[in-house]
Amino acid sequence: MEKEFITYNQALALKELGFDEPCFAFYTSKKFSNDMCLEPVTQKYNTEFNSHVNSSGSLVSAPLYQQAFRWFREKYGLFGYSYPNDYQKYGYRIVLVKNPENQELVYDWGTKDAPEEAELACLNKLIEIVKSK
Amino acid sequence: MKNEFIPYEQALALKELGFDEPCLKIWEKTMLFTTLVNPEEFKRVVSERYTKAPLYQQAFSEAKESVIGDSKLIFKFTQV
Repeated sequence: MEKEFITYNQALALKELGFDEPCFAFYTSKKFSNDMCLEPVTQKYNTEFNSHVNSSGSLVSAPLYQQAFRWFREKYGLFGYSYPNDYQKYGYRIVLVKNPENQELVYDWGTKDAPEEAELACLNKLIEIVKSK
Repeated sequence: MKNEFIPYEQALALKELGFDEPCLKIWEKTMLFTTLVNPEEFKRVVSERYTKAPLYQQAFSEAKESVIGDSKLIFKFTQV
């Protein structure tokens, strides 16, 4: 199931940008190591903890890809999605939607081999765009 | 968090279409299990009584892969 969650670096970036919604998992460091691992949120953690992992210093919420893309849509009006292009590759697009009549193409690029790669790159670009604002 | 999963009727339809990926939760008729299901335990508990509850992203990914299976079809589709 790990592929359903955004990467640690992306999750950390979202935390820095203010993402703080309930998630099914979180990133924490492995024992005796600096490596990060994905842990499911289980019943041993209380509801408050489940909802606000990101308010804790050392833990990082692990959003699903759909949660991350929705967060950018709802918070910034940035719609990111991947698509198959004419070169038998996968591109990704980011559109800024201020309202249905006012849409601006912010980014349209990418020649990835798989849709998952394009989605990952699309999310990285969304983070980069918002960080640069 | 319930809204992260496709509705029961759609989950049932995906099951009939052959969807069989690990999921975080399962539907029992119209009730979504509120307790997280460990993916390893998941295979054990799934039976006729239960239906896997795919995330929206899993459902869309499944649809993409089904179409991509016939690459000619998808690239013909994009050229229309």
